[in-house]
Amino acid sequence: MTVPQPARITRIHTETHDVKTFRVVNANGEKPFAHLPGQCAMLGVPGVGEAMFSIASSPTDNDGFDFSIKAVGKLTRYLHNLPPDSPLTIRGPFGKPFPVTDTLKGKDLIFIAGGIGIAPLRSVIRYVFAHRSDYGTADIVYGARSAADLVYLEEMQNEWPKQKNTRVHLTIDRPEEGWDGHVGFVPSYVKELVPDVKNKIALICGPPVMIKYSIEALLALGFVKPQIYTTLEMKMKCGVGQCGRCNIGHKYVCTDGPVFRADELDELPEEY
Amino acid sequence: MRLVYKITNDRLPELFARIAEEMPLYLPMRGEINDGIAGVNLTRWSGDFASVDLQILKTILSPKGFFFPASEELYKAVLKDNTYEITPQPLTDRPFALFGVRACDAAAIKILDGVFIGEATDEFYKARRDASCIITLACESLAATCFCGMFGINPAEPGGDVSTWLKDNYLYWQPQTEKGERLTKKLGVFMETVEVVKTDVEVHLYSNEINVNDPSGGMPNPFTTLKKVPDILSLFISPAWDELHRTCVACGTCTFLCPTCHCYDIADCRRNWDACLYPGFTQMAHGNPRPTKKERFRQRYMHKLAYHPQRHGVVACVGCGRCVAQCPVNMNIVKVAKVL
Repeated sequence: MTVPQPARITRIHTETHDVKTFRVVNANGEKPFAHLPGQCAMLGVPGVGEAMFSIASSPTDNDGFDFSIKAVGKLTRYLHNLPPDSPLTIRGPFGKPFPVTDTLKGKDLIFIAGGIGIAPLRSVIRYVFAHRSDYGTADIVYGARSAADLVYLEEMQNEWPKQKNTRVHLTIDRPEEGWDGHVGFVPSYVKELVPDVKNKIALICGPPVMIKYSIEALLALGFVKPQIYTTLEMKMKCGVGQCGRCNIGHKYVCTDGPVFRADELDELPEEY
Repeated sequence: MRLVYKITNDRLPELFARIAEEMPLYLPMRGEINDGIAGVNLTRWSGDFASVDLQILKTILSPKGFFFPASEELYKAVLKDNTYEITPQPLTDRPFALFGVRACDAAAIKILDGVFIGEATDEFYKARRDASCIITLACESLAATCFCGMFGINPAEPGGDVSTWLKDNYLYWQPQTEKGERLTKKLGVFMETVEVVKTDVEVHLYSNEINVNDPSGGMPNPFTTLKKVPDILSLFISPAWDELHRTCVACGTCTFLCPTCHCYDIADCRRNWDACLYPGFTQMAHGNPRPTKKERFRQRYMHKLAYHPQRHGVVACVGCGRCVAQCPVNMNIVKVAKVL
């Protein structure tokens, strides 16, 4: 177990009614440590709590770490009430990243996200943009309950589509006034959007049900499991595979995950 | 072969006092455990030889708390100039000795080492392990609740840094590691006055006199039959769990007494023992992947019998039998392993 270091929030951006993005730096105003897309960090407020969050910024972003946090529990609600410049603690990086430096290179990438699940994928997406020629096409399929629940909407509509060979496909669960985009669940939208499986890798993150049906949709399209990566979530404390609570079978999400290849999940009991 | 020292029993108080001059010594002593309940625990040597119990096989608590305390502050965080000033607790560097550790508990410490000084090193744990000298005591007999033999542990060859045997009015003392040799050397003049036996033959280490308990009832050893992934996955969905968990009251006693249970919580800069049997263990703001007692009960035994062997190559049980002896509803790992 590592001891945390002091950190500070430098910027708070309100994404939706219940999601904010916090930019976090260390005591010297710098990024607290090096990381790769998909890795996580423990953010803490002594006396309130400490929890694991995925780093939503790319290693190529230099102004600090971004954490996009949904207000759901004690710590996250507390964080939502903090003003900029508030002190925190941070430790990490934890976990295995997406294989951006090897397997993903040269591949056409399909990012599939639901709700706040877009946060870890944003790190990969921004990393891919920063090394655009190393990767093929990028299709981002992102859905939320309603238009008001879409995180990073500004960035997705204004910045991402300007990137080379990049398409953003947004969807919401139910029709609503003022929305002229796609309506429907993410897994069925994926089926409409992906014409073939050649040279493709899919990266999925979202609620467990969405992950499950998205994997099924991809398999129905002809994907094989080694072409699919996903991330899993469990309660975590130590971050180093010792405190014993984030295991799925013999794997610890904090060290063996959070990124898993779909075929690796076949070896694990279904308890996530 | 390392030398064997032969100390007459009447000189044991002198031996303990001599060790305690070098470093704090903890050994099984009768005393008050909690709320007036009497019991034997590893307790700091106070010179009170009458309270020392060298016959007891299971101290109430295992030695794990000496390396991994039930509750410890890992660091302090003080808000100063709008920044948390973080001060890690200094690491232990003061040597200490445990006397009378049994073979099962010595084996359990090795299992804990695999967790805390394995893929990642826990500096707090490692500092205490480095500072410790473990003096084991061989078992001359076994309790009905002992089943260390199921794990290939020989209670008559207890390991540790120094192994000791009580026999025929003597304590036989044999260093097993460099650390054990160093302690022996430190005892200096005292050890020079005791008889030295040159060969193992003269020391009847009663290996052949002890019959290791076999609680399997003649069935194949239930603790060594699990291995392959398909077996583990089918075990996970076995209908047996529906019945097995029913008697468990999820008090967590087994996890705290278990010498290999290592799960912990971190809250407010402190690390505390935690138990997978408690709902809060995996409760997140949006839900719990182990929502009922059945999943939590299954987790405890799957961890010990399947996941730990998969990851670390060893079953996370040493057959000390504390859980068997202390469970308020008489549920235990032997029952579970047999059913599975």
